[in-house]
Amino acid sequence: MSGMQKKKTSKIEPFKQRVENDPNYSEKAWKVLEHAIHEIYNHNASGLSFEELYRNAYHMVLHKFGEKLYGGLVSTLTFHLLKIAKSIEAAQGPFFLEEINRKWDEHNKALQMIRDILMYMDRTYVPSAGKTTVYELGLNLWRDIIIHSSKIQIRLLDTLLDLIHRERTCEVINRGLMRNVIKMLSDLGSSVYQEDFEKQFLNASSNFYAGESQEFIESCDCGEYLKRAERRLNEEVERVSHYLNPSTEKRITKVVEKEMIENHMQRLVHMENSGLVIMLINDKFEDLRRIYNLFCRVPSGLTSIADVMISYLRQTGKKLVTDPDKLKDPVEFVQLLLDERDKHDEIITQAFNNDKTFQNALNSSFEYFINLNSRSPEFISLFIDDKLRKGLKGVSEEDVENVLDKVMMLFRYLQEKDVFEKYYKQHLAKRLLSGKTVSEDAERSLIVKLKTECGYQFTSKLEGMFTDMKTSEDTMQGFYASQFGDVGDGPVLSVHVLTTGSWPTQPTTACNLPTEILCVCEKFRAYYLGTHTGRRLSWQTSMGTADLKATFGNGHKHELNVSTYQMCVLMLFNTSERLTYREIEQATEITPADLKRCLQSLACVRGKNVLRKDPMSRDIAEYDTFYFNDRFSSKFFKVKIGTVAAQRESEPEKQETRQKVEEDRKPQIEAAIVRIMKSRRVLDHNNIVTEVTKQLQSRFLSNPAVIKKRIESLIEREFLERDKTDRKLYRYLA
Amino acid sequence: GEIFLVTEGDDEYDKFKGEDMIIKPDLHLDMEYKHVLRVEKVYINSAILAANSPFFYKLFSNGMKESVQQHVTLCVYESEEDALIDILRYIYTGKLTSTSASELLTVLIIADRFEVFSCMGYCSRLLCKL
Repeated sequence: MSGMQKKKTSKIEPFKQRVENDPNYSEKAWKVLEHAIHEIYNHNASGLSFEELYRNAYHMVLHKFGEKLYGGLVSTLTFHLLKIAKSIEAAQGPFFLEEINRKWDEHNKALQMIRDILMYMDRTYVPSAGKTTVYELGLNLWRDIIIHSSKIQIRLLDTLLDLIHRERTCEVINRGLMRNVIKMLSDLGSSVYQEDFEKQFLNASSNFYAGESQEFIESCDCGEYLKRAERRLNEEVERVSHYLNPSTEKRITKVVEKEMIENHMQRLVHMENSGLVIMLINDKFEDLRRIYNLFCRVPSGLTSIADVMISYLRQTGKKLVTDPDKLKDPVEFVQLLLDERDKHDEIITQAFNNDKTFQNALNSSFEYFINLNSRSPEFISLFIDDKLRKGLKGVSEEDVENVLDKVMMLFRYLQEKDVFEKYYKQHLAKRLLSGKTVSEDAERSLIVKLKTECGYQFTSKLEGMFTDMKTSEDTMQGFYASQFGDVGDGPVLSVHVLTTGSWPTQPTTACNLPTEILCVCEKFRAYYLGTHTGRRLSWQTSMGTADLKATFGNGHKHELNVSTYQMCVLMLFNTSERLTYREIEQATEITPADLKRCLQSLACVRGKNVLRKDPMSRDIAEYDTFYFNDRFSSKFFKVKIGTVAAQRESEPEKQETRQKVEEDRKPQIEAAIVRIMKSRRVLDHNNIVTEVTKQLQSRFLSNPAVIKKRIESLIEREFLERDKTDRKLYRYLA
Repeated sequence: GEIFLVTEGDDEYDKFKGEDMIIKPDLHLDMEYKHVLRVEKVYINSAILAANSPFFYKLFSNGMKESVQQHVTLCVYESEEDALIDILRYIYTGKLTSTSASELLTVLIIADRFEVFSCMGYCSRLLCKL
């Protein structure tokens, strides 16, 4: 005040504090307050005057008796708390907790009143003297005198832990009381709650669950164990919400997780007759969901599930792709793979939360075992072939897409995508040329899928095949509209002009066509070469079909749908009754393998044998004789005579295809090497091999030995050279 | 509610001013007011007072005698009486009638005692402007 600046008109006098003249004033005032504190603890507060008490405390502080007031407060509170401690210690058995709770409640209420009347001290004296506030002082004294009393501390902890143990063993306890007492510990400060309760609680829980999980695992199967573990986890969370501090939740769940799950993880997943594998086999979605939800809580829990799943998938997958029984029917084989994939995909979405870990596990397992069987690319192509030939009839467009998408998943797993391409091309060619494809939309859609998967290069030839088909249609129209097209009563010809290169190369196995046909063919050739100069046409008789009108005994008329070869053979019987194998071979000049196949289908298939064979046996021998089956009958007018063409390739064919694939890979590997060397200039052997493998892995898995051979060939042709000093280094020669 | 303002002599040795003392017959004072000069009756709204001061809030609610009484008693020295009245006025109007430095100082001290913090701030600002 004295530092205040004076202004002209105003006069500021230093404030004179009134000094209490009564020398016993402070003593009197304290007596009033002390008496009031006693009254408050004795529940007589309603008779006290707040104004008077506040005024006394105010004046004491104002007149510098703050220390006396504070000291008096400490000793009075201590006096009362010692009395309370006695009464709590005296409480017997179950009344112990209740007594603590009751006394705590009273103390709390008293403390609030005392705090109110000493409000002025709290505001002015306490901060300046560096003391703790009245309320906090009351809590600290309660902690030190009551909670840390040697006769109470251990007893309180034991009582609490005992009650929790009882509740875990299905007894009903007074949760309200628990909540209040534990709330008291929290109110005394987080360190009190943690040190005096939580730590020991977690220890006791850890012991309890270690014992219980041991007991469960000896007596329960995996599913039951997990159910119980889940229930225990929920119970603990519930317990926390009912009467523990929220901060305990994650600590106690961690204890349960560790004791009940983490410590038994391996044993659980591998449990005989009930472990993970059994759950997978039996589609136990609920159990699987539970195992996922529980295991994802602990470190490396999910990997331990994934590991078991991978080894199971690989094992069963390996069994499936190497089982000769399963390999008999390619369509069924692929369907089995698809079913297997669907099944586990369903498990992953339904039970494993669509977790990436498991999707990867599924994919890597499929990739592993599908490639164990070198015929997988062929079979997948055959499966598509089957679907596109007949399997998709009467199926909605969406379902078609669905099936194709799923097959594409399998395709993605293939390492030898070029082998697939080879087969796909063959199968597509057959489908297109025989007019067997069900839906062009489905065909196109699949091509698009392949294109997005493997790029333009992969499908350009396949697309070329479709273009050829379209152009051929126009060409035929043009042919019949032209002067060449007038063939009178002669056979109707339909020609597909195929671009060399786009289609799978077939050895041109010419055969002798019947003269009627030959005549029309020549007309077409004249027309085509007339409109397209500089082209060359050669007839691919091995892939054509023909519709024949035939009259059998009793004037039965039928239309026979046969292959070009079969037509050539049947036409021979227009002029002769009986022909030997040799005679047929000479007349048609069809290769023995094709001819045998073709005769087999004409003479040996029950119900479709338009020819008869002598002797009657399944196989065709060189000296067999064939004659027209006059008694042939069928309830259909149109009869389709299939070729006994093994759908899947025979062993030598397979070898041949393999060889072709290897042959095709050579230029691709060379191209990759040149591309890499062009940008790197100098590179050592191992790095070239790695990079080439990486570049080509979207199409096939290249063999290091083959790459080495290609490098050598490039060196020979002077694209590359070896470094003069370091023989492992290659140099690019521009 | 209402407040009985009991004004005591400033000094024990002050002259006893009997004629200034007004004590209502129904007023029961627990304390021994030896030097009561007068008793004033002031009508107030306890909610407004409680909203402006923790002291009044506790006075009307903490569970002691005053919490249930229709009238409460505040005891002040004579020199503090005007200041207290002025503070009560401030609570209602936001203004003080005191203008001089010594008056304002007393107001400041009494506002501190009764925890009318907004008035303390207002008062300090007025003092600074002097």
